[in-house]
Amino acid sequence: MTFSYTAYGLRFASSFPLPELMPADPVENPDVTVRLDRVPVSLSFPSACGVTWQSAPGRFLLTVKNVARYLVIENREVVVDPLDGSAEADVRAFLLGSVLGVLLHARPMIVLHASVLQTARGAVLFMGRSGVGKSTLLAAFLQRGYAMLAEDKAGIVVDDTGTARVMPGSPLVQLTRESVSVLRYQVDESQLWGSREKYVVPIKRFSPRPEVLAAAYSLGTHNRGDILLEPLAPLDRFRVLNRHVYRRRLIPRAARRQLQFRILGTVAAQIRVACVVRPEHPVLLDQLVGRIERDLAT
Amino acid sequence: MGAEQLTRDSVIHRSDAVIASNLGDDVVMMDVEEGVYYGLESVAARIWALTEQPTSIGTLCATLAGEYDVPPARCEQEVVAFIGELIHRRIVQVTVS
Repeated sequence: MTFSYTAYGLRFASSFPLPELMPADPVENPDVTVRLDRVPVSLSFPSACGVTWQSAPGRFLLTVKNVARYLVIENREVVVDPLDGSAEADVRAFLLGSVLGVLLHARPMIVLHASVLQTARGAVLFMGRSGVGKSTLLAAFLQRGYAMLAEDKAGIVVDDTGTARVMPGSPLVQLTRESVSVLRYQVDESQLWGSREKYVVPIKRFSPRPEVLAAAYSLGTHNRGDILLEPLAPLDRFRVLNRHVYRRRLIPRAARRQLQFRILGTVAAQIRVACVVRPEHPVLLDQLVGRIERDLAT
Repeated sequence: MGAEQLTRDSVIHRSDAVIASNLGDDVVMMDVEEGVYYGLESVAARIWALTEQPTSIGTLCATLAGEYDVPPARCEQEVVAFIGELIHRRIVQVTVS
């Protein structure tokens, strides 16, 4: 039995269900196949490694304690080896997190750590470090009738006409318990996944087509009571976009750098980039949405 | 060749070690091997634009003196210092014609 999906413009064929992804018609040559099998504990001759991962030419191995081992072969085959007692949702969480990040970094796109909103002006990115509120802000916009393109990872390509476009990811947001309660989503414990600190919430307002990238906001916090929004000059746009590249250490080396530099340069030249800084507490979610809506209208 | 040997006749070429991208009036570049980024603004970006074809420091200074309000001697001194910096960072190379 094969399950077929699409995400970030790639076709996936999996031997087990991945309900978080958009279902798609089966294709003869999927871009990525996913299957369950045994995965070695380590690679023979790793050329780079981190605490949880190793890479060698054509191979990437990720080990998530108490969850699973994942082996990516030639960026088109993923072997998943769930560890004893792991929950299926957790196994999928890391597959659709870091492992998907590796698969995307190997494609002609740049991957930023950002959530992506669909607006009348085009796609809008919310970038920032983990925990700053990218997904919560996206969800707040969704509750006001907007649609989303992606969450956690924004895949950006430059099309034949030289225009930067954002690829649709998957129709979900991952929210902390606090955000779920602020936004009044109905969730149950079965939706907790990954690090067990976040709920995965399926989203109906999902735009499945690549969208022209219009703007990007870099989110931050400060110890003041107000919200600041500062548009950036071109060189700073490049700098800020570059700072939010998704798990940079997972990028295959030199070969991808030139392509990513070109895409980042194109993006920095084309779109509006602004820093938005909010109080650490309270979050002022409604004001933040209003401020960004006004900025997009200018 | 180091910056200390630069003269009006030194000819500046862009090197293959970096790739550059125009951002409006500014330029961002990357050392392909090292993955290091550089940003050039205003006059620096203008000088980069003028090196699209190999060009001598003398020609460069003559063009800049026509565009900016700066005494020729000081212009040459600053251009030489800046080009020296670009050579040091492998952004341009130099030959004497």
